[in-house]
Amino acid sequence: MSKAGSAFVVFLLLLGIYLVYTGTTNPVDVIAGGVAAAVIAALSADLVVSKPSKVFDPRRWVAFVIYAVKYLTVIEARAHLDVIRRILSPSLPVDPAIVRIPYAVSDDYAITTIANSITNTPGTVVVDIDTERKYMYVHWIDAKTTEDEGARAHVSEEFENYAKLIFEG
Amino acid sequence: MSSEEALAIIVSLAAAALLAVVAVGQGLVPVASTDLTPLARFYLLNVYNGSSQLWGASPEVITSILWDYRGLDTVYETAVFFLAIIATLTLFRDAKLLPETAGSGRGMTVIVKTVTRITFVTIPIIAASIALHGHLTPGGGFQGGAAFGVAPLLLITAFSLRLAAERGWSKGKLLTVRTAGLLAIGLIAVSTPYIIAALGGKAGIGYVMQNQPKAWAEVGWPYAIAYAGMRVLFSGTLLFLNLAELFAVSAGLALVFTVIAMPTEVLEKGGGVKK
Repeated sequence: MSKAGSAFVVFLLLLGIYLVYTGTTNPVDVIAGGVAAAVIAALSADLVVSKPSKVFDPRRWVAFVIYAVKYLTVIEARAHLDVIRRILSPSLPVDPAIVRIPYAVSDDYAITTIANSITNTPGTVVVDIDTERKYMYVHWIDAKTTEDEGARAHVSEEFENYAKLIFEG
Repeated sequence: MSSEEALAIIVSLAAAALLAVVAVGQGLVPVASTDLTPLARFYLLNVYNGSSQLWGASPEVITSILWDYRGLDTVYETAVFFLAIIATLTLFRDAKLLPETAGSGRGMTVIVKTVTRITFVTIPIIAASIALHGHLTPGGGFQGGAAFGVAPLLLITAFSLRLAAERGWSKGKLLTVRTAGLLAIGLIAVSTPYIIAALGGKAGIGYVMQNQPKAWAEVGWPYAIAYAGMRVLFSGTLLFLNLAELFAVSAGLALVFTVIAMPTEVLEKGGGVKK
């Protein structure tokens, strides 16, 4: 059941991508894209989705939309402005360090969301991850603290809260 | 500010100013010339002109040239590519893809792996779109196959070859798909007289790689189907050749990437190198 569910979820995703990329809703294209999506989903869906029921949970989608909008507008703009200010200041106010940030999620997609959210905001880059002890090593342009929990509060806490709502469980 | 920094700023500003002067002064010229050569004029006037005896039934000039006007060239090109892959396999003829000898399977970080899981399934669907619309928009079978080739390469790089071996990839399976694609191209190349006879048309003598009827060889593939008030253009042989080429190139590239990713000891053993 879970296997067929995974294949169905991946099928929907791929058919959507096919139609958007091709730019048509012509019935012939829906059939052709559907066949291609079904073949790929049958062969490889288990790589992508393990718990398909999570995809049909509307609370996760609401959290995802809120996070996507907030991340792409407010959080990104704030991080960009901060780094722009540092670059343009003649005194170059940077204090770089690699800090160790703990995380408390176990789903691969949640971990990846946190890591990519950190990397995609200017000023912070995830350089390595230790999945056994659950630490991310993050290069921070202006390390306000080198203490684990302090760095977590500054850098990744908000990302982690949303990642938990969207993917965990 | 050091003198080096000052110099860097001055050079950057000078380069920007030069670029601005060139862009404004010259005006940006079109990339393609509007002055067409006679050959270009021929293709543009004939390729999607139903009243022309030399039409290709496709609005995509490049695909028409590749699979129709110069179709034999592409068949030979595909054969050469196939031969190159056969030669690669001959070098490592007995190398087997087994999970035990395909590395540790540790791969990269969970971040890279998770992103690769998604791209591994989305790249093939884009490849399918590129190939299936090769007769309508830029793209085609080879382009789709080349795009597809990135998917196995990413999987091998992010997860190591071991996952591929565990998921049942084998040289035999990939070679079967590759050969089936090439065989389909060969069958389509000689199919035109039989297709028209099978569909109840007037049988006649045709050419190898003939797509649409010519005045002196009046056989040709149908180029569109109509149903429910809609007309779907598939440009005769072009769609099918693109589809066959997609499978041939995809499996060929996956095969080569898989073989060259094998550990050196396995390749040495498979190539019969004496220790």
